[in-house]
Order: sequence, then structure tokens, then C-alpha cells
Amino acid sequence: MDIAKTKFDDNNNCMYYLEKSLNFLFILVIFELIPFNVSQAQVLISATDLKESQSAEGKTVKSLPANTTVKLIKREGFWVEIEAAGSKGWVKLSTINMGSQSPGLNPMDTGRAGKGNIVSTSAARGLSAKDLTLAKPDPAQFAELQKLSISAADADKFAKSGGLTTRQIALLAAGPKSADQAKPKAQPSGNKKPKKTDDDDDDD
Amino acid sequence: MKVFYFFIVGLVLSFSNFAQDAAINIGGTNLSIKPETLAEELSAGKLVTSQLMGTAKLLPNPRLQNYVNLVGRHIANQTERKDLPWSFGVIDSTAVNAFAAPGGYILLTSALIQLLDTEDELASVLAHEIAHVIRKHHYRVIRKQQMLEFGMNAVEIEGADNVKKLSGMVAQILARGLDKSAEYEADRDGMVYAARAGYDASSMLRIMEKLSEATAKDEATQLLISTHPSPAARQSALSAVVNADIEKAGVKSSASARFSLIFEK
Repeated sequence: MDIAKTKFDDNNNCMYYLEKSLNFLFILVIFELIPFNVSQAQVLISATDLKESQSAEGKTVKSLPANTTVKLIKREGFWVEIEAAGSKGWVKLSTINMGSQSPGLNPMDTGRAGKGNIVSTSAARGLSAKDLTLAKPDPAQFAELQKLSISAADADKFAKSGGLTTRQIALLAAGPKSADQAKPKAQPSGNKKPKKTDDDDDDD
Repeated sequence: MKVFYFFIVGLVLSFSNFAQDAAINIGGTNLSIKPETLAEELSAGKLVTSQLMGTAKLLPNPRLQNYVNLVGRHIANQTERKDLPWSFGVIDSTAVNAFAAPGGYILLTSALIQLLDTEDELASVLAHEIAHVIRKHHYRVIRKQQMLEFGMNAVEIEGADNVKKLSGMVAQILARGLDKSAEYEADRDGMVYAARAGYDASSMLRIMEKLSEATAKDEATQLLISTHPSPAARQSALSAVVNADIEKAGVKSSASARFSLIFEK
């Protein structure tokens, strides 16, 4: 434990520069990746209106038929900006078949600067399945973890100080997609819209 | 009466090495007819957490630990089990992963923290783990494996072979992971819990993107990837169930930037 602290203090300066240069390298790598990500073409699952903005009520730029090839530009919330049939606009993320691809990332969001020393020590381990099996249980650490627990009231105060407002939202039932993923394709889901395809017991 | 009898037999047998299997079995038969209890769930949580922390220890960063507990507890407050002894910890590990132990003990690795950029993203990760606890996903696996009764006896006998055996069983459960349907369920519930707490519901999608990227870059995601559906599949499963309430909650929260303040010198 102390090793981490002294490392942090003694090597502060040298680590800072090392980190800076690593960050620079990292940004280079990201920029290499983006054109690749974006150029990956995806297709529309169903016919969809291309919207001017991220809203179903927004102006329609163009109506796109199912299976239209689209280029992903960026995702924001549950909407994706795309280029399709010579036009740019927004569609809901759920209308695109991503395959094994996630939408391209926004390079602005990837700043991991400054966290290096604070979230790792030189003693860090990998935590593989093998590590877990070989580990000796550590009840003393469990006791330390319990001490970190804070009161519900303190958390409330913290949330309010951050301007967070709670919302009443019901839990969601499984969609047809996750049911497909969970089981080896039993049958094509077709166009029926299952209101409740929950395969698990939701009774608690 | 029978229950009590088996408990005693289990206790006696667990002292003798050669009879360990019988003890597990008897304890298990016993367990399966007993109702779930909070005390048992908390014991299971202690077993799982102690095993995990045998591999990776708490990060010596009190500020970060407290922050993670504030965010986590606020989300837990939005669930029907606010009264659990919710405890959140960042453990020092180069593997990108997070774990939920029965009873509300939740661990994130430092490598996972390193992937995050906002409080909204942290909230999504914590909310997914909280959902596992609320649904008792791991607790039920442990009960099904019929190891709790045996475990509670064995824990009292420090240094015994029983402890070793038990910890091996817990490790196996952690290494094997849950059913994929349980992971999808925790994604959906977690997205709702984060949104209820006032956070950006779409941050769960961002997490999936980051996991994809980390995997592609060969960061230490092996265990996570082997125990979860692919991040892309999870993302499309989530986007398929988004309704009007969730969509409205799919915007950056006002607390989002607090995350990076924790790392200021």
C-alpha cells in the first residue's frame, strides 16, 4: 500500500511527462482508429425517416427504405448521425444493424489524462480466472470495504449538490434482440412485436 | 427438525477432511428447502467479496473510494432494496472488470475506472452491478450450487482444507460468470436505475463502446469478455428496448463533470 504512495510522490514529475507523452501516443492511436470505425458501413433494419435533428418530431430529410447502407458519423444519446443516400441526418440507434460494430467514438471523450497514478499502483494484478482460483480469501479486506459504506442520507445530499433530480421510470422487459442472443436462434422473430418476451423470472 | 439435524451433521462432517463432499451435499439438500434470508445472502456476499479481494486489494485512494460510494449509494437508493449495507470499492487491478457480490458489496477495478470519463458513465457501471444484487443473480447461483450451509460452517474453521475448497468453488462461480440473460437483464435494469438517479441513461451505451475499444486494443478484458455477451450485442439489445422515458433521460447530467475533479491534484 505504501509503495503506491511513495511512488506517487517521488516520481511525480517524471511520471507527469511520461504520462503526457503516452497521452499523445494514445490520441494518435485513436485518430488512426476513427476513420476505420466510421468507414464501416452498416445497414438499416427497417424503413426509417432520416431526421434533421435528434427527435422523432424533427423535420424529415429523406425517407430511407430497409437495408439502406449507412455510414455512421457519431452517436449522441440514443440517436446516431449517419450519412445515407447522399444525405446527412439522424436516426434512432435501434434502426441500425450494427453487427459486431459499435458506433465510432468521439475523440473528445477519450481523455484519460491525469488518472494514471491515482488509479493504479505498481503492484496491480490482472484478476484472471486463474488468479481468482489461486487467491486466498481476504476477510480483512472485506472488513475494510464495509467501512467505506456511507449513509443513504449522505448520498442524497451528494446527489442534490450535483443538481441531480430523480425520476420515476419503470423497469424494462427484455426486447426480442436479447432473447435471440440468449438462446441459439429458435426461430426468426418475424414481425410480431412481443410486448413481454421476458425469459427470466421477473417476479421479485 | 430435519433441517436442524442436517445442520449439525454438516457441522460435524465439515471437520473431517474425507467427508467434505458429503457435507456439501447434505448442507445443500438442506439449503434448497430453506427460504432465502438476508443473513444468508450477506454471508454469501462476504464469501464472494473476500475471494475477490484475495486477488486484488482496495486502492489506497480514500477520495476516490468515498466518491464511488456516494454515487453508488445514490443509485441504490432508487431501488427497492435501499436498506442493504451497500459498500462500493475500487480494487487495484489491471483487468477491466466489475463485480457484484450478494448483499450489496460491489467492486470495480482501477483499470475500469481508468476507462471512464464522467460521473454518468460511472453511474452506469455501478447501476449494472446494483441490478445484479437486486435480482439476486449471484446469490441464487450460489444457493443452487448448494454450498452456503457448508460454507458458513467452514468459514469458522480458519486454515482448514474446507476453506480452500470453498474458496475454489466461489472462484469457479466468478470465473464462469452468469447466464447471458442475467447480464442483459442487469443492463436494462441498470440503465433504468441510472436514469432514475438523474444520470444519462445513454451512458450505458457509451460503456459498451468503451469495452469494445478496450477489447480491440487488447487491454485486459479477458475475464469480462468471457463472462459477458459481446459489448456490441449488449448495446443493440439495450437500444431495442428504449422507450420514451428512457430517451428523455438520455442526456448528460449536471453532475457529469464531477468525475474528473476527483483526479485533480
